[in-house]
Amino acid sequence: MNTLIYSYKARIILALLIGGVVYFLLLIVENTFRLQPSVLEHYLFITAAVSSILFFSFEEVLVAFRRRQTKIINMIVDALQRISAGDLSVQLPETGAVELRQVSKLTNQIVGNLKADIGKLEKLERVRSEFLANVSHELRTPIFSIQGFIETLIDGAIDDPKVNREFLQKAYEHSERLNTLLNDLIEISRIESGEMRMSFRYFNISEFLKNVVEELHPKAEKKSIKLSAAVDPHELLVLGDKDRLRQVMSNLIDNSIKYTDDGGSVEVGVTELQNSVRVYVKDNGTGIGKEHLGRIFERFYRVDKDRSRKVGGTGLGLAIVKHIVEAHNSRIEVKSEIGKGSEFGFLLKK
Amino acid sequence: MHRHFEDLLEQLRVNLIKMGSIVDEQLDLAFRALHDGDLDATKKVFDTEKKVNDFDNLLDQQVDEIMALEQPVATDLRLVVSAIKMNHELERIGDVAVNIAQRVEPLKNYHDLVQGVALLEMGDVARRMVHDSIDAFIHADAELARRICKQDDIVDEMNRQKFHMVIGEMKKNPDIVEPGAHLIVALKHIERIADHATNIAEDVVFLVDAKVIKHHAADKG
Repeated sequence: MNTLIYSYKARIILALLIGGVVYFLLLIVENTFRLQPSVLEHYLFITAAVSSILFFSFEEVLVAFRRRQTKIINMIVDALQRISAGDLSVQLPETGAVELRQVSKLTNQIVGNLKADIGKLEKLERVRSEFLANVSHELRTPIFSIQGFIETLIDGAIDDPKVNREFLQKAYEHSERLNTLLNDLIEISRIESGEMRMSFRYFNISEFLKNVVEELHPKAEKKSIKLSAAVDPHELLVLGDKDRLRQVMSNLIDNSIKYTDDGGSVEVGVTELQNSVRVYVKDNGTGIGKEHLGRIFERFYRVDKDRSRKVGGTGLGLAIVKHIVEAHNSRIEVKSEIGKGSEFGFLLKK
Repeated sequence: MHRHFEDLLEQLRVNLIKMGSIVDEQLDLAFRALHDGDLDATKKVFDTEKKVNDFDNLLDQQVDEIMALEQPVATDLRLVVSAIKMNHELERIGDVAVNIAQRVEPLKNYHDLVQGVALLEMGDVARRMVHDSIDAFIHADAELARRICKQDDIVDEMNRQKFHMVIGEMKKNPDIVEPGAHLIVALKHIERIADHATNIAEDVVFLVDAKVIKHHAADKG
C-alpha cells in the first residue's frame, strides 16, 4: 500500500484517473444542460487544475495526517504508561481518527472506573479499620471488667461473704454482655456478607406483634413501663421473614424500654395502607437530638456513650434493624424529639 | 405482555407463596405438637387443612384461567406448569402434616421411645427441606434447589436405619408394638415429606434453568 502511495508513477496514475473522472462528469453535465463549448474549455481547465493540486499536495496532506495520528498514538502510549505506573490523573483529549477517539474515550472511562473503585476500596478500608477499632474497644470493656472482678476474688475477696457473690454476679453480667455483643457481631457480619438468606412468608402481623409484645412484657414491667400492642384483632397478612422481623421488633422495643424513664409508655402498632402496612414502635422516652438522627443506624454509633454502656447496649442493635428492614425492600424511618420520645417505623408489603 | 396477564401471573405467584407459608407453618406446628405431645397444636394443624385445600382449588382455577385465556409461553409457561406441580406437592405436604399430627395422641405417652429413635431430628431435616424449597422458589434460587435434592438420600437412609431400630425395639419389648407401629408410620410420613420437598426443588430448577432433573434426568444428559 505504501509503495503505491509514495511512488510517482502511482501519483500520476491517480491524478489522471481523478482528472478523467472529473472530465467525464463535466461532459455529462454539459450534455444534460446543453452548455457552450467555451464553458467546456473552462471546466477542462478546472479539471487540469484539480488534478495538479491533487498531484502535488497528496503526499504532503497524507504525511501531515499521518504525523498527527502518530502524535495522538504517542500521547495514548504515554498516557497508558502513566496509568500502568499508577498515575490516575491522566485525561486524554478525544480527537483524531474515529478509532483513536474511541481508544482515548475508553482509556478515560477506564481511568474514571479505576478512580471510583479505588475510592470505594479506600472507604471500605477506612470503615473496616474503624469497625475493628470499635470491636476491640467494645470487647475489651467487658473482658477487663470480668478480669478485674476475678482478680479481686482471687486476691481474697472470695472469702468475704459481703462481696464474693456480688462480684461473681457482676462478672457473670459482663460475660452475658460479651455474649450478646458477639452474637450481634456474628449477626451483622452474616447480614453484610450476604450469607443470611431471607425466608419470606405471609403471616399475620397482628398476631405476631401481640406475641412479641407479650415476650417483652417482663422487661417493661421491671421499669413499670406500660408496653402495649395497638393492633386490630382481624387477620392482616404481610410478606416478611418472621424470625428476622422478630429480631427487628425486639431490638426496637428493647431500645424504647431502655431509653424511657420508669413509669413511661411504649406502644407497638400497625397501620394498614393500600398495598402495605406500617409497623411502628413509639415511646415517650428521652428522645434523640436532631444532630444524631442521621447516624444512629451506624455500627457502634452512640448518642450517649455512658448511658448506652450502663443500659447494656452493644451499639449494633439499630444497624442490624436497618439491614433487616432494607432486606425487606423497605426503609427504617425515625421521628424524635428530645424529652418527648421517639417513633421508629417501616413498611411491609401486604 | 399486557397488564392483565402480568397481574394474573403475579397473583399466581403470590398465592403459591401464601400457600407455601401456610404449609410451612402447619408442618412446623405438627412437629412441635409431636415433640410436646400438645393436642391443642394438633387441632390447629387439622384446622389449617381447610385453608390449604382452599388454596389448592384457587390455584387450580387461576392456572385454568391463564392457560385458557392467555396461552403463556417460555418462562411464563414454565411458571404456570411449575405452579400446577408445586400446588399439588404443597397440598400433599399439608395432608402429611395432618397425618403426623394424628400420631401425637398415640405417641404422647412414649416420649422416650420417640426420642430414642430421634424421630424429630429426621423430621427437622425434612421440614428444613420444605422450608428451603419454598425459599428456593421465592428467590428463584436453582442452586439451593439442587442442594435440597441431594438431601433426599439422607432422609431415605435415616428412614431405613430408624425402621430397623424400631423393629429391634419392638422385638425386645412387645409392649411397645402399638406405639412402634405408629412410629414406623410417622417415619414413612417424614420420608414422604422429603420426597415432596425434593419434587418442589426439581420444579424450581425447571422454572429457573429450564432443565428437567427429576428421576436423575440430568445425569443421563
